[in-house]
Amino acid sequence: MDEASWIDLYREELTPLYRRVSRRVGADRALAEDVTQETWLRALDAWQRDGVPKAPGAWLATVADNLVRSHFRRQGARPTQDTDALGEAAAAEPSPTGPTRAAVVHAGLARLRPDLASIVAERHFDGLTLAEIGARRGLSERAVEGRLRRARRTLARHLDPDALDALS
Amino acid sequence: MQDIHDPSPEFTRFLEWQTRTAVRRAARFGAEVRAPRAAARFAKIAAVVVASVLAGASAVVAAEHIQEGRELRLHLETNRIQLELAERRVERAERERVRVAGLRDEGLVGDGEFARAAGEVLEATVARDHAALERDEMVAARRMPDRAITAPVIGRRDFVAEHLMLDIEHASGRVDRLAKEAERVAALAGMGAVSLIERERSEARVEEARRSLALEQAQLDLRTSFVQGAIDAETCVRQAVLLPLESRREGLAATIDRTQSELELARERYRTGLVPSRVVDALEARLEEERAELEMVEAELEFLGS
Repeated sequence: MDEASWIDLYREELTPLYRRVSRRVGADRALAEDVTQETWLRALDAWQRDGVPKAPGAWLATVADNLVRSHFRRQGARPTQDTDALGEAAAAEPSPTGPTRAAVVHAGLARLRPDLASIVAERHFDGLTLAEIGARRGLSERAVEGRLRRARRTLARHLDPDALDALS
Repeated sequence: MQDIHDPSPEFTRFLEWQTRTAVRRAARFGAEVRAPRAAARFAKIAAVVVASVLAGASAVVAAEHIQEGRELRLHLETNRIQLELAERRVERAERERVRVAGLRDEGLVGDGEFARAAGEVLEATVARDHAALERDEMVAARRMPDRAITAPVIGRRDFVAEHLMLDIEHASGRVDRLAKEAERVAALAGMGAVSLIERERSEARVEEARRSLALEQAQLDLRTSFVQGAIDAETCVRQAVLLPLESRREGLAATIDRTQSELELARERYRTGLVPSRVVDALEARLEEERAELEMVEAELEFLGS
């Protein structure tokens, strides 16, 4: 692939990738830029070696999500150990998508089964409808709704009510 | 208005630049020749000696091969380090350019500052690309780089032309930058913020840059004619010597005209007591030097039969 093709691919993929990351980190610009840059450079490295995958967007999404999860995990288990304090911080956050709330949400998601966590993430961060989430997994809206309810019940055991509201 | 979840233009530009750099670096370093291991190196040297002896060549010739091989390896290693340093210089310059662009957008620095930062990126990029070309040539030709106008084409690559194209890109960027600067100085001169002499000097810098660009282009044309067989080596070498001399003659003629005007103005000012006599003396000395150099260039051109 020549330089121009790489740049075309970059221009096509950057904005959706950045938006996805930004939503997951509560619009923390510095963190979103770090994760996006790391994801893209890893992709470039791997794709130059092994070729561009059929669905580059999905590849990027998976790597970016993993990096975001690692970041919040590295920040420590603080949100889950001291949920009251973080719940207060989340409640004080002016933006419902602020960085502190994002930290709380990720702490909660880390307690869920991966399939439930991804449904919650798509609903909460990407704003997908129940039908859209269902279509991706071959599930009915009712089934998605049921899983979200189960996820919420699990989270209720770990998060305070303010943080839980963020996942409604 | 930009959405809270949209990437900023600065970040987008910076990551795009990183992408370009990574792709170019991979293209260059992918072809890197690694130093052979000691055993393999000994085997190669031995092969050269045996082959030379078998072919009836003397031991001196064989030793020369070995010496050349050593020099080439040394140059390849030096070049590798130069390339790494050049890459870092480009990255630094690009970061600075992005930073200055942000300051300019906020109105904290002017266009001149940004043009200087952009100029440094171009300088650094051209220097790196020259180093990369030299590395490619050493790898392809198994000898030191040769930038003579009649140097042979290696495989399908004309390294001499590629170097000239880089120089043209550099010269062209310089012309653009200086032309913008001259426009800015002209506007300031119109407002009386800078002197007319300053304006003329700035225009002269643009003219000089244009002459350099024209010279690079003429050399590339010459090289193309030689490679295509339109001219022989002797004509090509002679033209390659004449071209810069003719360009220099043209440049000196323009410089002399300008110095002459400055001198006349300085004499007038001296008469009215606006400048001391040393200003006039300095300009007279400069004019004399420039005329002497012009005479020398013309003598050389005459000797070469232009």
